[in-house]
Amino acid sequence: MQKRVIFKARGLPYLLVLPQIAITVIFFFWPSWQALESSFFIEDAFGFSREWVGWQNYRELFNDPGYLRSFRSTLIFGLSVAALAMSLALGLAVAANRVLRATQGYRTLLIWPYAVAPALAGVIWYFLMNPSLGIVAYWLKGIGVEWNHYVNGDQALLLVIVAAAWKQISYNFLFFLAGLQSIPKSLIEAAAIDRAGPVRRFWSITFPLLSPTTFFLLVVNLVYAFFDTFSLIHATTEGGPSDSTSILVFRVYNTGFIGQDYGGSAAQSVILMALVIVMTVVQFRYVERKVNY
Amino acid sequence: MATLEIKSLGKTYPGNVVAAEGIDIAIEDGELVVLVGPSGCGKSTILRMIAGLETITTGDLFIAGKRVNDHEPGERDIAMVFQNYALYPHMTVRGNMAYGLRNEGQPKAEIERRIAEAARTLRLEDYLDRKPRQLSGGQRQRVAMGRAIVREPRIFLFDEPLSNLDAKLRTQLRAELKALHRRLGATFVYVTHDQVEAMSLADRIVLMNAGQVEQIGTPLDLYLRPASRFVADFIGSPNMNVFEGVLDGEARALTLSGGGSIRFADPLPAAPGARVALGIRPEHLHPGDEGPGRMELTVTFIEQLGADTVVHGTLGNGREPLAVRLDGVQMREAGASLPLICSPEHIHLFDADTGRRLN
Ligand SMILES: Nc1ncnc2c1ncn2[C@@H]1O[C@H](COP(=O)(O)OP(=O)(O)O)[C@@H](O)[C@H]1O
Ligand SMILES: [Mg+2]
Repeated sequence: MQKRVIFKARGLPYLLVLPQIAITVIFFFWPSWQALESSFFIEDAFGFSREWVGWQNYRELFNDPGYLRSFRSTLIFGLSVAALAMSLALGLAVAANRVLRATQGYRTLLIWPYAVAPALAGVIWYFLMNPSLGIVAYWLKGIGVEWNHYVNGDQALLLVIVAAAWKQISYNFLFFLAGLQSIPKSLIEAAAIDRAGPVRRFWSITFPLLSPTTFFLLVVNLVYAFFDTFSLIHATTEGGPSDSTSILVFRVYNTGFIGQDYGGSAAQSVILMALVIVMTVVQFRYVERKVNY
Repeated sequence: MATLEIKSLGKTYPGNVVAAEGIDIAIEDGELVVLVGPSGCGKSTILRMIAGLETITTGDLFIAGKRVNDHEPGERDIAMVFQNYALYPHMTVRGNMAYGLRNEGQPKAEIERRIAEAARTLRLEDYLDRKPRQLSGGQRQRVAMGRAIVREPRIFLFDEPLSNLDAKLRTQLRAELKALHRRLGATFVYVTHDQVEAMSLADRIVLMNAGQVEQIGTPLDLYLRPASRFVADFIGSPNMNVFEGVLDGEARALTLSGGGSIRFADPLPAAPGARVALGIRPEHLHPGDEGPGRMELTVTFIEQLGADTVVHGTLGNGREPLAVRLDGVQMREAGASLPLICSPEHIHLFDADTGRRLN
């Protein structure tokens, strides 16, 4: 339980948080409210008139097999990105933690991808993997893999998963490394004396003690993959081929700006919003209660 | 049960930090040896080299006659109790004790039996299903010991295991530890910076200073015949009184650097005219007027400890500090003068430059 600091002054604290509240209201609450509102209307393409339709937008969404497929690909995408980004980051963090003194330079190198804008990350991978001029695509051809993500939906999905995970590794790495360094060295030493080899020490001592970090990162990575990868997909596959990489966030854009169905797009954003809220609640509940040794 | 032999062992940390150098210790089977010395003198470094947690820079380490320099910690048949206990926080008390046994591949029944026995010895039966964070400091300490005992190692290593406990608990656990040693009959190597702990626990003490061994001996050896001024100063409380000065032509009188002099009946065993440091323990000075080795204490303050009284003051009217321990409750006014004598067998004489013992 934290002790509360009590201020006597009435006005000042409110004045100090006012800018933050204003930003939140203008840029978060207001658009959210507008999305919620428009999801119950059908609007013409130029925004001249609209008609109240109740739940119709939502009903149409859940009867659209394309939207349901998007759910599936979002789930595959999100879980794969989280799994890939986290396992690689954990591996790197364990390696870095071993050679602590060399960490400084190593750490700087690993932070770089995180500083790259998502769209730019997409472009990098777009060039690397481009079937006609990409170097990686060329190598793959060398070992007998025919790479063409413009045609092959699975390859396209794989491409965006790898690109999205690559960008997230450095973030995960930093948290894992901090988590590893907060585990007292004497615990690992005690385990070594207790005849546990390095692998066993990792899985029976280190990994369980990292569980708060792991869970936190799982939620952060899922949120990232679900909501923050629009520009990356836009820059690489544009949702294609034939919707195979059209995850939920990308579909919101497609429906709204390409398809000009504002009501349907708004309904999709409301569903995404609900998803974020659920994940945030789970995060706080679970982190506080369960992952506590 | 095993002997432990340390031969000219040394450790240099990266950055050329020499933490230990030329350490020679031979520990017998079933002995309780305490490594003691001020903070930073290299005690933990030596213990950690024995455990295999730190690589050995120079020298050799033998357990039961076998060179183990290159053995992994798990292959040395040792158990260690850490200062911060190092209990696995996500496991129960039972899980903590079972962990090492499972890694050894002990059968379930055997694991259960050993845990039950250790829990009985350490009075932990009611806590077996708790996590470490639900235990008090003393209980955690017992779990750490339990985790070592169940392994039935040949050598137990302790690194300041009682330092995080309050004084009363420390005394109690010290007695339990001593009893445990007697019951198990295993070899114990115990590290502490507390000379009282060392004196009360040890069969033999290894007193260290700045990465080197200063003296090895029984607690009484170190108390009665300290090999150097450093040992004399470290062992005993309150500290030994030490006066630096120059002996006269007959080696019978010491002219003190802080002013004044002390006369003795017989010549001291040192070269006439030598610069020496003379030590007398506060408990070896007695009130009295007659006899040699007579000196005057001018009282500045007294400490009433109940069983005895420590009178602090200066020698004569000079600046040399002097303390004396008197039996029972005694009253002395500040500024009062107290004549003292000391018998010759309680005089320690050290070389003023090297600090080595002369008599
Ligand atoms: N990992 C390390 N790297 C560099 N120097 C160290 C390391 N561990 C200990 N030292 C140094 O070695 C010396 C002895 O340390 P230590 O054995 O821990 O002393 P003690 O246990 O007697 O207090 C100290 O000067 C300490 O600073
Ligand atoms: Mg130490």
